[in-house]
Amino acid sequence: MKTNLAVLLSAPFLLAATGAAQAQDYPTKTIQIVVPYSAGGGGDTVARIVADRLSEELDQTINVVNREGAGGEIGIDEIARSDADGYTLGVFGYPDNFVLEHTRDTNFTFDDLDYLAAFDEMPMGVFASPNSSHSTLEEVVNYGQENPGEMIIGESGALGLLHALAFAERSEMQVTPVRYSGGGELMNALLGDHIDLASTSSMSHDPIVDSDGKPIGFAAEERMDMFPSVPTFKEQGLDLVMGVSRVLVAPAGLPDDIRETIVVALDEISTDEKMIANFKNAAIPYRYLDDSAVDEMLEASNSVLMPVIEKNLDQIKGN
Amino acid sequence: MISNLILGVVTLLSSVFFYRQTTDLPERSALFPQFVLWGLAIVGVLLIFQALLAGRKGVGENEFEAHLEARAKLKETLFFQVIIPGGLLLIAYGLLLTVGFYLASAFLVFTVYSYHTYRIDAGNLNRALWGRAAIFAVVITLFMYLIFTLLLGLPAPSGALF
Amino acid sequence: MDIVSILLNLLTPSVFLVVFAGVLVGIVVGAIPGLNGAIGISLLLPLTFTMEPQIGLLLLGGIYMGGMYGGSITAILINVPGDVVAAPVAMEGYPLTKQGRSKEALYYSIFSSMFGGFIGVLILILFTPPLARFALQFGPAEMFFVSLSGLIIVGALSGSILKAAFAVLLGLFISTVGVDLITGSERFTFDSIGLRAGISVVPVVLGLFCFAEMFLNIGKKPGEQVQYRDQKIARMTVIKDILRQRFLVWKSGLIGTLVGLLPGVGTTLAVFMSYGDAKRVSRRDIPFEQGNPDGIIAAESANNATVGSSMVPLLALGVPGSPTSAIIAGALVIHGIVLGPSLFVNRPDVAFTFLYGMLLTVVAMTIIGAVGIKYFSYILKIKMEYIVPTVLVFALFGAYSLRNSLFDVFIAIVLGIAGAIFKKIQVPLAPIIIGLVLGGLIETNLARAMRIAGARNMPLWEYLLATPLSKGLVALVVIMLLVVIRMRHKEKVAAKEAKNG
Repeated sequence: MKTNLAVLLSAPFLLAATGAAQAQDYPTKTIQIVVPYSAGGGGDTVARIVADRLSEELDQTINVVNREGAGGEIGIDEIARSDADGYTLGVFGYPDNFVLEHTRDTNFTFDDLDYLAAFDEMPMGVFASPNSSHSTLEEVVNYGQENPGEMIIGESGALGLLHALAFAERSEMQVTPVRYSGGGELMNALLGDHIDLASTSSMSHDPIVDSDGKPIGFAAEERMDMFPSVPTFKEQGLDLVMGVSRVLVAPAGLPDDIRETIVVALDEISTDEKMIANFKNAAIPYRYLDDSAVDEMLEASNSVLMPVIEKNLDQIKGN
Repeated sequence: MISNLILGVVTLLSSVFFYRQTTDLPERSALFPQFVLWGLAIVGVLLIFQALLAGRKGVGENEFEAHLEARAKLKETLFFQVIIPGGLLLIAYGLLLTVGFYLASAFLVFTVYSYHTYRIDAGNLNRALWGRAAIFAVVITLFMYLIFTLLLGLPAPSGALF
Repeated sequence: MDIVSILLNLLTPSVFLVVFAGVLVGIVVGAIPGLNGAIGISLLLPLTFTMEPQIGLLLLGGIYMGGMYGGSITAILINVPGDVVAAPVAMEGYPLTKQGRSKEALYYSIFSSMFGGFIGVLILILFTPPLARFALQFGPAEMFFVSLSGLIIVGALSGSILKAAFAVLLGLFISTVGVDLITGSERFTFDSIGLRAGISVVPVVLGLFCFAEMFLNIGKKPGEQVQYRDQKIARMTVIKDILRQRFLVWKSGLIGTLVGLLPGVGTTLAVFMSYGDAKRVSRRDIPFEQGNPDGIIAAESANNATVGSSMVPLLALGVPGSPTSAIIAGALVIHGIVLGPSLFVNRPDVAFTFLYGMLLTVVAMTIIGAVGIKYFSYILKIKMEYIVPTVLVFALFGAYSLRNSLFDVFIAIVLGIAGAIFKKIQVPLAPIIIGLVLGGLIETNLARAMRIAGARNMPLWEYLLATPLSKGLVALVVIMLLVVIRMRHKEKVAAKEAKNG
């Protein structure tokens, strides 16, 4: 928090000043990063780590503002609706916005946001409960195919359900998804053996395995550096790649020079060792994509997700 | 008790109104609210019954007057202690949306302080009071600005204009 | 690193400083209506990034502990609970203030908080692993019954049973507004983006308890409502009195610890449960809601006990038990500390420093509270016309701060108007909160139970009663129901006797 006497004294004048600040001076006032989740989760952590470093780079205070509600919809909606002046940015886990847009009647669309960078790549995964008799994908699938509908898979968040449904569909079994309101609650249910499987991101790996839960596999292209012993679905013959990527966005329509300033600053901090170490500490697999690379990644990912959403729309909406 | 009767009627009507909203929902989403609304409707009916029963018992002469007095007092409270301050808060909310938190808060402090003093004694309403109210409003607003915005860095609601 | 050297590490000036600072911040944010420990913690979270993990943790733990206590100061003095957990304290403490016994009420509150805090932290130190395993056994069926038992407590509060039923149902109804967690469909949102997020507890509490109270205070002359009196009361008298109430403080602390283990409901439920229980066992001749110190003792020791126990699932399993401990978990993650059973093996320095350091937060809270009470009560010297507008604007800000939502401000105002009317027509307000807190739990856990029972091809009741724990909880629900009916009956008889005699 950068506060000094000058700010304090000039405050009343700043308050009265209109929004006609010159673009080349950007940023002249505090920037807000809206996070559509409550404090403490993965998306929030990424936002705080990035905000910390970005505020040094831009030499301006950055506040991380949590606007949780309706599975991220409230906060994303607010980002999309805010003025495209560079003073409201957002950090959230893609594809939450994409899944919400196509499963609910949201006010925002994919193109209402300008995707400036992506910071991580966190695959989804499936874990089995500590007392479960299945510890490999093969065992899970065999049981699931023989007992349609009996396998109970817990999930949370927009992507959790989609991943669970895609997992079941690709492995040709019927499962019963049970919804939880957050990753913590879901972990509780899994570790207490109230559900058989959990569909959650790789971030939950450590606490689950620490309490004897079993990782069945990750929906990643290849094994993760962090967890080399956990197999991917792909290598076990299941074609399923799905993950979260925390993106930094602005409302579409940023003035070019402001956009340039932010993008350059992001590129600059992307190699900062201290920031990367913070990601590593938080068990978030760091992967930086700049503004053009992120667009490519999102486009590719959207085209993979769309058919999955369409195929399971009834289940998502009505189940 | 007329207030119980009104509460019962309002409860019953609103539960019917909201119940009609649930009919389009998927079964799993509708179940719990419907259950609660049934409960509210029953409580509404019971409140009406209770009020009517108490009314039928009749009231003695003395009690009747006390009754009227209580009712007049309730009406007075409703107007002076609920409608006016509630209205002031709603105006402050409107200001919050347009000119932001700090101006809205100055407005609210100023009006509520003046109104309070006026309620104690209408004769208090003079120039000295306006001055006091204005100073108080500025002091409180500055104090909040210092604590929330400068010291804690909490985001304050900003309006459409500022 | 052995325990002794860890304990020696604790006794450094920097640890003391951090703990005191944390507790002080916690008390202040707790006392401001609408702000609570969770907000205080997210504010100071960035500060901890640069600290040693155990020091940063103690800062946050101190805020948590202080925040739990802070709410009761404004609850007792101006009948505005800073947070839900202080609502029962307001119900007993404010009547005492009206009688000119505010200092006494504040002493009851701080020392009960102290006992509760110690109980919670000691249990955290001694029994974390078994308690964490116990907490895991609460599945959909168990959570459903626990929530039901919470609803029954409403019957134990005084007033018309019909109006209490109305209030609790209203709370349950409010909990259904918004996007349904289970199916994602919108309920009662009327196409408003604000309503989609649902109505959260904090703006409702602010509206019902803070705005409504302030409305009704408008126009009160100085001294009409409360009088400041420099009451001479020795701290030891209060402590002795607390300990003389048989097991009250211990039992309430224990209820707080056990119920506080449960994710989501923990604190609110624990506070109302022990409050209801105190009403049942109190031996004083003072009716509840008219200033019975036993209500303060029970509620305060329970809420500070939950601080320790809501950390149990966090430390032992990495699963946060309350919003506040979720943020603390976030802070730990940034330091690269893996929570779960291996924490005590891999990072005993962090784990044990934090555990024993939490005892220090209780000490700090007690010192600040016991010394500060004299100054807190000066609030009562301030004229009402200054208090009302100040509280209103702070609450306005608080309503916004929870979710940075203007819509929440609007909700608080609307409920303020409704709350003032309810107060005037004797509709009790606390049940609305209880219904709102428990509604979501009852619904989602029942929905999960139905879903799982369906998948396992068994009837719902069979799944609900499958475990010994859930059978026990059903028994608890039935017993509580009987106790409440008996209490009601006794009250009726007593009221009749009072009328005749």
